[in-house]
Amino acid sequence: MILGILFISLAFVAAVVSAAGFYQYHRTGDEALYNLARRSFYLMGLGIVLSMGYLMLQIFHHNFQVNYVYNYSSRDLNPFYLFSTFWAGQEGTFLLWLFYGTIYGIILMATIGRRRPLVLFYIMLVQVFILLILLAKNPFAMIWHVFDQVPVGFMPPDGAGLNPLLQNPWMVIHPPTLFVGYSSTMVVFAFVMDALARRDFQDWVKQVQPWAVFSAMILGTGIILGGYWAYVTLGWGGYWGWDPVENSSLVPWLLMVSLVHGLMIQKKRGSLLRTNLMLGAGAFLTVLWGSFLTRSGILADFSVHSFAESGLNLYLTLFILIFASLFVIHAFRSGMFEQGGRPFGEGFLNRETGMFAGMFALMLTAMFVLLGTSAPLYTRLFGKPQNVSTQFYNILSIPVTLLILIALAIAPAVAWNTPGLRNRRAVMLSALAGAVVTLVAFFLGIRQPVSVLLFYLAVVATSVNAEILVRFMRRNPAKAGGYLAHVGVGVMIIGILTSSLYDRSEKLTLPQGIPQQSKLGYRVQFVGLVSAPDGKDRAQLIVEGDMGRYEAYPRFYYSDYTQSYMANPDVRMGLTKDVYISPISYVPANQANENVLELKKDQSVRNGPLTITFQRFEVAMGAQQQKATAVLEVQVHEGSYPKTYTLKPSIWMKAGKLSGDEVQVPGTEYRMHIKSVNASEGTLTLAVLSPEQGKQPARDVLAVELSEKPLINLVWLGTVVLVVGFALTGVHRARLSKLL
Amino acid sequence: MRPKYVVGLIIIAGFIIFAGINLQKSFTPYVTIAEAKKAQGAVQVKGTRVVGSEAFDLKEKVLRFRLLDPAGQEIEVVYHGVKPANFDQARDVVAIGTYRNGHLEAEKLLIKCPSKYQAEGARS
Repeated sequence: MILGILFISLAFVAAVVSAAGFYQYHRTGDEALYNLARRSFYLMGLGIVLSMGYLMLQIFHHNFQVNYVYNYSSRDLNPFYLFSTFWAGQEGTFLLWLFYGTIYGIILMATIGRRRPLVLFYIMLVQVFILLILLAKNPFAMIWHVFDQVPVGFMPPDGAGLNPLLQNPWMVIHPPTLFVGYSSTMVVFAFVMDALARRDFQDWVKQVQPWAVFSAMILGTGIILGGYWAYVTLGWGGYWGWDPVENSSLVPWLLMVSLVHGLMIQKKRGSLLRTNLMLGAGAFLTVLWGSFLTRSGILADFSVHSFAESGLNLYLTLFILIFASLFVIHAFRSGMFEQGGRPFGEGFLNRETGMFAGMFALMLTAMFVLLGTSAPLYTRLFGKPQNVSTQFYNILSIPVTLLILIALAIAPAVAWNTPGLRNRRAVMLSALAGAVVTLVAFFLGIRQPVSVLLFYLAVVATSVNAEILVRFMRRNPAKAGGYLAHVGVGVMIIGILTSSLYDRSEKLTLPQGIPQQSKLGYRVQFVGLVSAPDGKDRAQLIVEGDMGRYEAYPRFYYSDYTQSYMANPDVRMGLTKDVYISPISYVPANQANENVLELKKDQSVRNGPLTITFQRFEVAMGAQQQKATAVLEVQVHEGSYPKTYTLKPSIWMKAGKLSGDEVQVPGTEYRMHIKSVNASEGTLTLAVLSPEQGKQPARDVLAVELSEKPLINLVWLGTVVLVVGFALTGVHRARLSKLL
Repeated sequence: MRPKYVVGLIIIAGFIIFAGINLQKSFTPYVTIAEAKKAQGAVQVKGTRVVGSEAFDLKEKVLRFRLLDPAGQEIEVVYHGVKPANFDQARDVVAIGTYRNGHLEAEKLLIKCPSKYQAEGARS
């Protein structure tokens, strides 16, 4: 695809010229250079847009000669999912980043371009680097460039298809949203570098504020969309699993949210000058770090996500090293470390100390998540690579959540600089309201001391911020966004507590047609599998419980793409709880009632109370029939000492018809028969029926996990409120810095 | 020193100690089967599923199977839970758990599936 490569090359060259132009304009102030830089910038944008359009064209024309198109799409995808295959691979996500970078550049040139050419220079530097990566791993490579055995000019009849897990409406918007967030950290980084170069550590605050808020908002939205997708698609019952992929999006978000608060403190008090610069750089550098961790193949054996090694390790490592060193060198040269900000006001009860406590908790969280996620990397230095279990993250979130909630409850209610409570009434009322709600929750089942404490603080924090929010809505709605976001965080934490700590689940085995009573009080009947036109078969269940009687349709189907069974849960959303049913396995009737064992000669296998040893075959060859008899030594471990028997089940072929006999283990109701023999390998496949299994008539059996998620709605409600709060603040900040 | 810094330092120190202890506790080294058999705590082992070795007790919900690693070592894995959906198609399985009484008591299984993309072997 020579045209596509041409577009990317054009963008690359234009980006290099533009970067050089902005840099020289910064040094000389020559207007001609700025115009050159600006024109080259638009040329780069043109190259990027053309290559995106060209790739999209290949996707929609099913040009499977293009490796990218072959790998991620197929003819049976509807246009909606076909569109989303654009960002199914790394190359596509790089293109997305470049596209967003172009939009940011246009906005920046329209606002601060001439005054702050270095901001644009650093953005162009990142763009240049990503374009370089795209030249190395280009999305327009043909299949015969990638696969040795494919002849030049070969056109595959169909593509490999899109992973069925990604064929979900949430997955269509999740990656592009997250990449808006990832790429926006680049703008904040560019502002940091500009501030360092100009040795002006106060002035950048006002300019960067709307960008930081935007970045925090959109990263948060992207993370939440991913969580919601996991909840409704993956079927393990949660929205957050501390997986490296999730973690590497969480860390930049935590740092960006810290920065949003730090910038407010700096603007008001002139404090936290160095902290803010480091947070701004940190958010961007952890985005790079995350993309290195998840794309380098280092984590391949530590996660359920598949991390194919991308062959980009060198580029990604260089990328991180170059930008990290750029920051460190400039930080030292700027003299920022000698320049402290103004100290906070006296005592603990002032706004800046309270806000900083919250920031501090967010930074600690970022630190331990980074520490845990990077474990496979640094443990390698001391020996075997090691992973940390999710327990690590769960336990460490407790102290930081405690600190966040305390800060959330106190900081908004105290004044800047001077110690003392400003909103005594709000705090007192909230403390009281919290006590009442917690007491109710206690009787409803929240008993663990730590959860009671967290629950209480979350209610108090929500209430304090809601009170202040209501007052701001009357007086000054533009400034209410922050408090709204805090209410969202409080509600979200309450939801996380109730839905994860009080999540109850059970595994049910459902023979077709027979309603089963569950321990949680549901009556579940497996009606049968319903086939769907798109091949995604669903299991039909009738569920009766306190949510009423309803039909649940969890998906359970075989995917050619992953060559395995895929299960999507059925989620029944209620006001107070969700009922979550996830299929685990399906056993068709002809296999349901027997345990199938494969035995080699002299091999022993344990099945229930039996140890079965396959000793040898006895083969009888006759004119009319061929008969194979397996000599088995069966030990029965029942009673005080095991008894040993020799059993001889047979299988024979007579007049082209295969039949066998069934033998019973003496003293038990276990029965067994030969399913098949493999003479060349000397293996035997034996079916064993336990007494219970022998009695039941054969039915299809579906095993499901049923769980209740109390108040999980609050998690979604809280996150939506949080995002809206960020959006309001963002608009307010953008107005103040004359962006809007 | 101002009391605020003292409190801040105490929080940092406390958190670092707390984090350190928990980090130590939750490390699960990635080991070969031979090493897993000697290990004390939780480990994770990757191996090829020995086809036909699995027995799943639907009633008790216990899955037993054997894993084979490239060194030719075998280990029996016992997993209390329902057989993962894509288990039968899996070639490689990562089992995370503790070795005791002659088998690996798995808390978690990661099923690695052969995907079309990887099976064809990219040259890159």
